[in-house]
Amino acid sequence: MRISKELLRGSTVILVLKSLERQPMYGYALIKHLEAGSNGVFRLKEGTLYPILHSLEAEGMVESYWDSDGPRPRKYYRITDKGRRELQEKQAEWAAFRSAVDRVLGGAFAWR
Amino acid sequence: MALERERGVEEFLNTVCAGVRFQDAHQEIRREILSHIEEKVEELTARGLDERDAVKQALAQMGDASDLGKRLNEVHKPRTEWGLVLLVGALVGFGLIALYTIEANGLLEYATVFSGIFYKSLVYAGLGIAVAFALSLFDYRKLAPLSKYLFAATVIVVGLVCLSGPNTGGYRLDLGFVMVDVVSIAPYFLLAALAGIFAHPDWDWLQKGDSPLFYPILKTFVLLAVPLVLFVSVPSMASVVMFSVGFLILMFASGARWPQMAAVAVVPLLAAGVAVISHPWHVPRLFGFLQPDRDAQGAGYLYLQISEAVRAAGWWGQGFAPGTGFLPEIHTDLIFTYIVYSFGWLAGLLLVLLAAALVFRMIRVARCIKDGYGRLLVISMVSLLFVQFLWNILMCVGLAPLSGIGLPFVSFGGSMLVVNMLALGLVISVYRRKNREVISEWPAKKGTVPFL
Repeated sequence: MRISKELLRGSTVILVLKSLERQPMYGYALIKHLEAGSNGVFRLKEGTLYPILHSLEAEGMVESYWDSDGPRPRKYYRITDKGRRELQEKQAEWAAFRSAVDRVLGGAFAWR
Repeated sequence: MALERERGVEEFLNTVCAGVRFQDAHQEIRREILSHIEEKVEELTARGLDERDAVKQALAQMGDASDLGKRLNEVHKPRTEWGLVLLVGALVGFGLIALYTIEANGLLEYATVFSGIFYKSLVYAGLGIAVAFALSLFDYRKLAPLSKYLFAATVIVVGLVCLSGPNTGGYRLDLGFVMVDVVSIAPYFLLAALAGIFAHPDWDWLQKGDSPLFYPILKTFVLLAVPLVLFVSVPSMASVVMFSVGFLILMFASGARWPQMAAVAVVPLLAAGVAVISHPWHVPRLFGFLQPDRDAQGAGYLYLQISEAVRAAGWWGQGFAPGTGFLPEIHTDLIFTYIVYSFGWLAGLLLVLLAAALVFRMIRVARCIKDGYGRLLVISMVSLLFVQFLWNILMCVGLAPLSGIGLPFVSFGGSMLVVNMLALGLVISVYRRKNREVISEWPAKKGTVPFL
């Protein structure tokens, strides 16, 4: 199923933070991870990930470091304590939002 | 795989970077996106695509290059710390108003000698703003490799000035058109150089194999002792204290151990001892503030005058009557006492708040800098400002020994004002580049104790 851009945009940050909470990742791996974890629903234009990562870094939610041990240098991102707090807030926000939407949708369904 | 030269890829990277106005970020963005494309191409060719198609598909997957550039530009736009600029502006403004009232009311003892202090200060402030602006655009990282030479050059210049002895303005470097107070401003240059020396990856406080006390403590002793010998020979208490405190803070911030710092702290104590023995008449003057009444006509005199001026001020001040004629140096070291006396306790409180806000803001800047060298630079500058603010304000209300330490940005003094502006420009330069990744010649240091 294709998901509209607006819906994607609002949730990318929380998904990125959640993924990085498990382990530090570089951009390409992060995209693969998101795609696999969502059964292919989250398929964004790959370039758009970088402005998101960079602004998360500027806000201190994640920090980056280069690892040049592999076949090519890769820029890894890892979550910071501030990022963890933000993630918790966003998760709570998301849970409240989702259950509210579900309730309204469910209610509308029962009406008919 | 050398995809960077591939036409489509190079064009893509160029288009992205063209959108990002902050050039310092280009190299890293290029490397990151190139690495991504290479990864993708490798995966596609492994699935059987030939390389040209793989590149095409990888680029298509990336999305629109100029759109990407635009979004990255939003993130990497350099931010100027306007808070710092405003606070410094307020302090300089405060100083100019005070100097104007001093001059307009003829409150200086030697009015003819110091005529024109307001205009001179205005010129120096303008000059300072110009150098601060220029320095803020300059990439501070270019200074790092020059640190050793900066240290050596500063020591040599101070040494020459000390050797040639005092001239009309004290120990100053006569540049023909202007006299530079080299001894007072030297701590700024020395500490900026030390930031580079301590941040260098070869400088390791925990070098294995040796006792932590031995190496690099020996080098550290030399770096601290040589300038201190010069400062004591002048003698310049202000420079001794500013340099020593800044030095120890830099050691701490770069990961030195407590025993190392304790060992090094012996040097300034020794220097103080030497200063006391060679200039014994300074001692009662220094400690007169503890019990000014004991020698009310001698060592305690000035302290009593200061206390009286501060007490008499009241919330709104005594105005600009020549009542302050009993205090010397009200345009330089004792300008805070003058401001409190003439403008009142509220004005003094406002100045204290401005100074504290400036120091705290700079510490906040230091905390968000990832680059070790940049962080040490900011810490060195804020240490110097902190020592001066604290000591000057305390001594101006009679709670610290009198010394040649002025109130940064407020006191009259050309060299000092310009150098303080340089420090501001440097801090802004570091802050503007805080988002830039550490991919300089210096690898990120491992195992240092994070400071702050």
